[in-house]
Amino acid sequence: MTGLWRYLAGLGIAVVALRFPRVIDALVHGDLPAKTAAVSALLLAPMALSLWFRARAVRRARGEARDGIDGWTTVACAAIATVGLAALLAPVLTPYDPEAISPLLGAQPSWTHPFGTDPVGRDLLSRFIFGARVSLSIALISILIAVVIGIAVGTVAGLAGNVTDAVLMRGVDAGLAFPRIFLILVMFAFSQRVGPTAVVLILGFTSWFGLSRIVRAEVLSIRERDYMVATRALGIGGIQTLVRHVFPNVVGPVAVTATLGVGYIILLESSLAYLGVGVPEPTPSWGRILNDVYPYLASSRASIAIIPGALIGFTVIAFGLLGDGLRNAFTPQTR
Amino acid sequence: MTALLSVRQLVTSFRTDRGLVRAVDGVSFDIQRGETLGLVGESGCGKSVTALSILRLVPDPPGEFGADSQVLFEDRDIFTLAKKELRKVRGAEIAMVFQEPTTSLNPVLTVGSQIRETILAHEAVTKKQAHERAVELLTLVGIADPSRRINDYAHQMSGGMQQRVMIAMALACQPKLLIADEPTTALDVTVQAQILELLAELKDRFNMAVMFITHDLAVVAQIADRVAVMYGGRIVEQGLTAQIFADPKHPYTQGLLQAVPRVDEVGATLAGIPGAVPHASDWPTGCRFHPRCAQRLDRCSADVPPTFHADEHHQAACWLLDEARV
Repeated sequence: MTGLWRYLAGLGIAVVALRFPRVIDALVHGDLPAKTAAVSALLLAPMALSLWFRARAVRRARGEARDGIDGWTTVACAAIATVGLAALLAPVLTPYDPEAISPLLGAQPSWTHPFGTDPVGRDLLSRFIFGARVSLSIALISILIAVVIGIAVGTVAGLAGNVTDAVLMRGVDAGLAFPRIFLILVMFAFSQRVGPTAVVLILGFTSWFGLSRIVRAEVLSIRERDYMVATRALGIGGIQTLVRHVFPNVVGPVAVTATLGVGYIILLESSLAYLGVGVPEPTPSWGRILNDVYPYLASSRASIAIIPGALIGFTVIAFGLLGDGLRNAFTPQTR
Repeated sequence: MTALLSVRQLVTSFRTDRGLVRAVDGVSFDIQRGETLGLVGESGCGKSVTALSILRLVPDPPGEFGADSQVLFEDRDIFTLAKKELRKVRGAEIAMVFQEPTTSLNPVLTVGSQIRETILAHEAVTKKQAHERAVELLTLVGIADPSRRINDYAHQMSGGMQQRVMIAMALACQPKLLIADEPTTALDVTVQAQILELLAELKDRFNMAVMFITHDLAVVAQIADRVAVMYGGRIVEQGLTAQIFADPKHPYTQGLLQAVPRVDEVGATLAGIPGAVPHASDWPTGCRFHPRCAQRLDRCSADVPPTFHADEHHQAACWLLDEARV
C-alpha cells in the first residue's frame, strides 16, 4: 500500500504545483465546488504523505517486510485514485465547461481538445472528468446501499434460519429471476423526478440480491465453525460475536462482490443512458458520453469513441483487481 | 463440602430423521475442587456431548436435555440460568479447550485479539491492561517471544502453539473448572507430552479442577485423580485412577485395559473387544455392552444394571457385581 501513498502524494504535489495559480484563483474567486476542490487538493498531498510515513512506521515497528498488498492491487488503487482525484478536482483540472457547446462538432483528439469533441461540440476530456464525478458517485453510493441491504438481509437469513430464511431467500430468488433492466425501467417509469438521486436509489435497491445470498452462505458456514463454539464456550456472545467473528469473515467475499459490482454498475449506467433513461442531459455521465460518441466507432474518427470507452473499461478492470486485493488483504492466510 | 460440579441424570438427546436419539443417557458424576477427572470412552460414546452439555453448548434444536437433568456448578443450576448469567459462567468460571486448535481459533483475528476479547468480556479492565495480561498468559503457557507472537494469526503457529494459545484463552479469567475435550488428540506425541505437563502444572498453580476427556488410557493414567468410563451414553464405571487400572470391575473397562499395548509383552497378541460401538439411535436393551461382553449373564440383555459400589470410591454398572447373585 505504501506505493499507493507515495503515488498519491506525488499526484497531489504535481496537481498543486502545476496548477498552483489556478488553485489559488479558485480558492479566492471560484464558486463553492471549485473552492472545495481547491481546499481538498491543498490538503490531500500532505495527508497522503503523512499517512504513508505512518504506515511505514507501523510496519517497521512490527518488523514486517510486506503488508499483504501486491503489485496489481497497488496499480488498481493508483488507477482508481487517479480517476477519483480527477473527479474530485474536476473544476480545477478541466480546460472547458463540460456543458458548453462549440462549433467544433466531433473533432478528432488534438492539443486543444485532448479527447476530441462530441457531436454537439462539447470538450470530451472535460465531460469525461465531470462524468467521472457523476458515474463514480452513482456506482459507489448505490453499491454502498446494496452492501448494507445485502449484509443485513443475508445475516438475518443466515442466523435466523427456518421460516425467516425461507421467506427472505425466496424473495431474493424472485429479485434475481426478474430481468433487472426491466425492473429498473419500471421503477424509472414510476419515479417522479429522474435525477442522479433516483438513479442511485434505483440501482442500489436492485443490486443487493446476489450479495445477500453470498453473505447468507458465509454466515451459515461460519456459524458451524469450531471457533464459534469456542467463542461461546468463553462466554462471548450476542452482538460481539456478530461484529468480531462473523463480519470479518464475510468482508472478503463482500469486498470482491462489491468492487466487481462497482464495475458492473458503471456499465449498467451506460446501458441505461443508451436506453434513454438515467442521468438526464446535459449532465455528463460516462454512460451519456458513450451514448453520444458510439456512432463514431465505425468511422475514420473512431478515436473519439475509443479513448473514453477504453478508459471506462480500465476503470472497471481496476475495480475488479481492487476486489481481489481486498479479499487477499482480509484473508490473513493468503499473506 | 459440596462438589464444585455435580452432574445429575444428564440426558442429552437429538432430534434426527431416525427419531429422538439419546447421545447421553442418564450420566451422573461429581468433580471436586482442584480434582482432575478423566472421562474415557470410545468415539461416539457421548463424552464430548457430556462436556458440551455442561456449558449448555449443545445446539438447540436439534439437541434437548431431559426433564430431570441437572448440572449444578457451585449449587447453581446451569440449565436454569438466564443467558446473561450463563455467559458469565462460561469462560470466567468454567472454560473449555477443544480438540482441534487449528479450527478453534478464528483465522482472521490475531491470537492476541482473541485472548484480549475473552479478558474484556469478563473483567472491567482497560484494553492496555488486557493486552499486558494476554502477554503474561502467553508467557505462562510457554510461548517464546510472546510480545511479538501475540500479533500472529493462528495459521502462523504450529498445532502445539495453537493449543497453548487456546489454553491461555481458557485460563484468561482463572476458571475454577477447565474442561479439556481431547486437547492432545490432534497433536503429535512429543507435543502431547508437553501440553499434558503444562496442563498439570497450571492446574496446581491455579488450584483448578479439570475434566479431561480422552480415549487414551495412557494419558488418563498420567493426569487424572479419578476416572469415569463411558460406554453407550452412560458411565459404566468410575473410581480412583489406581483402582480403575489395578482392579477394573466392568468387563468393558477390563477390555479397554487389555487392548493397551505393553512394552514388556512384545510379540504378544493384542486383545481387542469384539464387535463395534452401536449407534446412538439403536442402543441394545438392558446393559448396552452386553452384545460385546464375554461375561454376560442372562439378565444383561433384559435389565439395565444399576450402579453397584465395589469400594468407597469405586462403582460400576454391571450385574456381575450384584451381591444377591452370589
